[in-house]
Amino acid sequence: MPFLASALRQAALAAPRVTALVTSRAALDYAEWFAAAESRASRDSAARGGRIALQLVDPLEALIAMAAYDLLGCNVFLIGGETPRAESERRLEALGITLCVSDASDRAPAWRTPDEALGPAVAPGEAGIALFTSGTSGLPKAAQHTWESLAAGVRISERESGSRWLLTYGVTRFAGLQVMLQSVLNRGTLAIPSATDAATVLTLSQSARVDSISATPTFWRKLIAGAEPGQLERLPLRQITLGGEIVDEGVLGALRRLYPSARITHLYASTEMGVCLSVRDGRPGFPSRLLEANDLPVDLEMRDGHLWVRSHRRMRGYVGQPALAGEWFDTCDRVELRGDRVYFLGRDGDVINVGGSKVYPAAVERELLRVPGVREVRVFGTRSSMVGEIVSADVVAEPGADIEALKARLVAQGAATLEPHQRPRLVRFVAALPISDAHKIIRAQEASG
Amino acid sequence: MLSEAHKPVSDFASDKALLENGLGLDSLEFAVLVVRLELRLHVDPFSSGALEEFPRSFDELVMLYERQSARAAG
Repeated sequence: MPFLASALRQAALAAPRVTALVTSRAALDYAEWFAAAESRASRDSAARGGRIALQLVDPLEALIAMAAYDLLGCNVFLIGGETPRAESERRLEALGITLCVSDASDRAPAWRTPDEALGPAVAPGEAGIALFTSGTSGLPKAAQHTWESLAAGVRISERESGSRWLLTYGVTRFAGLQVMLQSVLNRGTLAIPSATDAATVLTLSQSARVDSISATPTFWRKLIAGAEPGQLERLPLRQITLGGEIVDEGVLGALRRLYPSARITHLYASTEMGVCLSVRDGRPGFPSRLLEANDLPVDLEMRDGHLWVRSHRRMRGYVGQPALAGEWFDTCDRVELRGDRVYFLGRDGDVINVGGSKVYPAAVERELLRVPGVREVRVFGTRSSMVGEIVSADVVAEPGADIEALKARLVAQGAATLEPHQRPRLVRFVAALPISDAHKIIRAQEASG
Repeated sequence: MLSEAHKPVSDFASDKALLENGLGLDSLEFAVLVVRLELRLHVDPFSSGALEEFPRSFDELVMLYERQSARAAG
């Protein structure tokens, strides 16, 4: 039996009445989840061994379907429930996929249902799960994984057993699947909020007695800003996992103060390479000795300022494209060695070019986030006829902050800590930053005026 | 912008040179001034590349923008 289906069956046998999935409206225990998957597999048995896309808005339906089509040995392509119809169609047409299961007629492509037709057959050994990477430009690519490769970074231990996780990521994303597998393989509970505002998230966390949260720093900054006084402290968190973005001292410090007894881990992972790094010492970046270590499941190297990775947890390749050449993979994440620590500077594509000098937005954001009165900040380039680009910043101020005084502090901080070409020259105060549906701050967008 | 750059605003005179020895804007600060003016006025006289005469003083800069705005409006 394939990996996910088998893991679920084992959980259904060993812990049938443990709540596996819970939302504000419904809950499924392991026995119910597996039974629903079996029933769906038997209904849709015509899809056996085919390529099938899932675009399900309801996360419980999505998780049942993933297990069902795994039982049927399908290669399952996951599309986010919120992806617009035209975009899903574009992706599936590009890959020649004709079978799409969906629960939202207005959003989903008009593909055939399993009752009517089979997708192209899956070659032996091709079954698995394909995830669309959040490509920064052009058509997103489908990263072909297996459930085994996705689960390779999951810790299974006594300490993890029965953990109660809050799902802050979309369930069709790499990070969301990691949290789901972390929960299932330790027979824990996965609490899935229906929205990402602080009130919804905290209400579900309290009622589901969440003790573990995996989220981006941006998600935490929003949650901390939106929570009622005392509300966060009441969550009995044992495990906090950060990922998806560069982790800075600010968010680590805030979480340490809120949850002094929780273990705080930050992960470095990508859809393509899987989980590459897990850091637990409470500091940003990672110890440089990991670059030398050869007893890790993943090898790391610094080449020309980029982090390169060699991993058995990696994807098999992008669907429909030639296999990746070589074992080493350029993550395009810029890193810098300072003392015995390696720090992340940001994606290479994010670099702002000011008159030939490179500026890494993350480095500027880190300094601006230290300024009292700044809640969130996004640094990006604005086109300049004179010097190529200049550095711009959108700033979300703390409520009640004196904007004029804050402006002066930002200028002073820039002058004190940043080189002239790095200093933000256009600062806008905004109510909120654009945030992607992966809860990462969107960078690529340019100021419109 | 002069005060932001910690340059003496009291020295301002519209006929002084904009850059180094006059008002003391450096080339990056000048670039920023151009972007800010573009956001405000929706013209950038430096974007065409066909710049006959680089404005030396504040007065010349104002005239350049006036000509450019008139052209854009016409």
